[in-house]
Amino acid sequence: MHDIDSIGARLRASGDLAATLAASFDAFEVIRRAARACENRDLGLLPVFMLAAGAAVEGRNSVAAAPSLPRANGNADGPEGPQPSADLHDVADWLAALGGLLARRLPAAAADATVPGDRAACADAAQAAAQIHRLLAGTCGASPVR
Amino acid sequence: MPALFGDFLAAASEHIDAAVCFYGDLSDDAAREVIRELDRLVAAMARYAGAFTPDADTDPADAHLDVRARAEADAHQALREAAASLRADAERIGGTGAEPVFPAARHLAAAAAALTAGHDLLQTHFAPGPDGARTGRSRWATVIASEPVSAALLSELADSGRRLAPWVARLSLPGLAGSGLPGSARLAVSAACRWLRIADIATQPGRGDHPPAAAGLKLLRAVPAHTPPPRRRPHAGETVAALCASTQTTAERLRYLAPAVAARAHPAAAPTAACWQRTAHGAAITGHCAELILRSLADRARILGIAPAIPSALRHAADATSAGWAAWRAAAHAFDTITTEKRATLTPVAAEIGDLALWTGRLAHSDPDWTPARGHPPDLRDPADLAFAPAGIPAVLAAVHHAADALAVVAAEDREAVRAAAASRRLFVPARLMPEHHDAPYPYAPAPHPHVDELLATYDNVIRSAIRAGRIIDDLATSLDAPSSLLGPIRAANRREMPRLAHRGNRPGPQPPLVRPGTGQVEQTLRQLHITEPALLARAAVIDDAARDLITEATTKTHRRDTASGPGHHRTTGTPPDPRHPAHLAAKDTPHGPVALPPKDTRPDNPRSNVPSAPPHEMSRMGIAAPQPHRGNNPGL
Repeated sequence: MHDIDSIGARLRASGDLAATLAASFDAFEVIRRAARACENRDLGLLPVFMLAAGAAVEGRNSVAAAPSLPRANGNADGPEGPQPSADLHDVADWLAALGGLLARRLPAAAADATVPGDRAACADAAQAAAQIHRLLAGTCGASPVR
Repeated sequence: MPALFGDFLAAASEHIDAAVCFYGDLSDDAAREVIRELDRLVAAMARYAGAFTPDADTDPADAHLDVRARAEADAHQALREAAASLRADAERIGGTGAEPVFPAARHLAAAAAALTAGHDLLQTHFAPGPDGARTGRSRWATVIASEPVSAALLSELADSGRRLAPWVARLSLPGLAGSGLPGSARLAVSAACRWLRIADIATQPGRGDHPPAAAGLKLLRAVPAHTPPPRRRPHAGETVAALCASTQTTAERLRYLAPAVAARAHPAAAPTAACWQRTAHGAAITGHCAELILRSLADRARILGIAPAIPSALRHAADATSAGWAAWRAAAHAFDTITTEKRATLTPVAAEIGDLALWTGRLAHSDPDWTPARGHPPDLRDPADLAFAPAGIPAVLAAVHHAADALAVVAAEDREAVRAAAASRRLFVPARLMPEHHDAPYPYAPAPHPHVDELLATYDNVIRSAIRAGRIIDDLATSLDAPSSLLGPIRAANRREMPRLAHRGNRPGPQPPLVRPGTGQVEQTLRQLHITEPALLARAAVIDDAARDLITEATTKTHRRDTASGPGHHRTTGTPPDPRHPAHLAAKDTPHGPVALPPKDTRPDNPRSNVPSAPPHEMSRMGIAAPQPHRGNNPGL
């Protein structure tokens, strides 16, 4: 869970919009990779991990469209996912917490943003993060398949 | 339940049966009402003639036509002629605009309204194109225009005409109906009656010794209006039957919505990667739940002692469905890196595919509030709860079948949309996900070709898997006579191209008949005596008709008796008829059938010189006299 912990720390520590956006992009990517890695491990949890990965892609792509996201050279490898031996419910809890953190940090970043494109990107990404949290924390409404 | 074409067909049939039950004398007013409503009914029948057949404007005289096509063209033309015969005189009789009072007329009016509504229902599956032609816009359009369904429709119309004709013939008898009716009206009714008979008999070569295939009629009756059913909202504690119904409704909505999305050619409304990925996720979850349901059904079928082949086939279907949802999941994974421009709105399919996942998930799981989110126990529904009795298995299978069918439609539409996006270079990758050596000046970079090729190959696999699973479930549904058993034939019909139909508004009027307008022997005799009194000619025409009916009935009975006696009693072609044969005896003293017209240049005194000199066709070979073609307000006198 090293990546999940470290990305959470980065998010909390990010002081400005650019840093928050960069950390958010990576956080969504961590969630996506981790959720994909867990999809096959228990078919009972297949739908929840599949949808969480989808929400992470949407959140990541929203952040990628933000004008203030710092340019960076590619990183095709990205952060590593959780250990294959990690307990699935532990992974789900960690990812839910990370989603919740994103859902709190991104609206705050949107409030500080001066460029409309940044505000829209943060707002969209915050919605995706909230969806990840609802799915993985088990607090969803009637139809979480958006 | 949505309205089906069969509902209107059945209503029309019941009203026609009710109308022809009336055998009392008709007052003038009643006779006028009946003629007006008969005009409406026959006009409604004639509107169908060729309206849903791609080669509707076929000339019956075309020597290249096969028997079936020629018979259909004859029947279509006969229906139009019947309508034209009545039209002028109904107009002359005039109308009060009020609802009919006489019961038989009311039934005819109701039958006309039902057939008109049925026509409009079929018409919803076609849209006018820029050139005036109508193009199919739903899967049902191909079904409606298919040969078995066209034949079934024509057969149903002809059958209505057959039941109407003897009753209508009474109107042309002065002693029985409306003695104050003008003679021209009686002749027009008589002509219409004969055209209706021709329409019925003309369909017989097309169907041979057999009625139209039951499958064609079943499909025809099942045609719904091209409108989506209302969206269903979930609520807790729904029964298995309600969940099956909700699954079917959602599947129908998705089948309706998917092509509508694809039809949006404008790039500003094109679907996005977010829509495709949501759709793929919803499809994968639906497929996963469908697999669980099929395995439960297989267990239940085994416990219930249903034929051993069924549990095995259900497991086979579950395996195919498993491959299908795995393919959808691969498509969803492909959009982890490939994306498009972003839009605020989702396509209707992406917005509603989650409903399908929810309904199938609740069918598969024991938790009545199941959602794909974490927190619901993943326990599966008890197979006995899913299908307590053997009859429950086809019902649940139908829900799975509808879901699989809808996903196949969605897959085909999404594949085309993704191809279009690739062709217009709308596929991108976030620059941050590119390899480290990639120096991207923008947040997004064009998707590398290998990624795009892989994405398209993934969709191809989705389609292949969907087709395979669809065929297996089609067969299973047929074996179990599931309510969804029509989905297979619908899919089969859609392997053909979407039909294009002629624009009805520009349709030419009735064509002149290819045989001499038939006058029976009695009527001919009266004309030779220079009798022009309409009432007498009408009576003569009715006597001729009655004689033909007698011959037809006698011939049919004899044919049935020969058939029942075994093959040795069949008369081979070319064998001289037995002079003691009842039909032969009857024919000796009854009016002859039509006479083929001589070439135009050999009948200089014939005022109808525009009648083509084509060789006699099916109508004449059947020995059926075609009545006088309609030529305006003068019914031929």
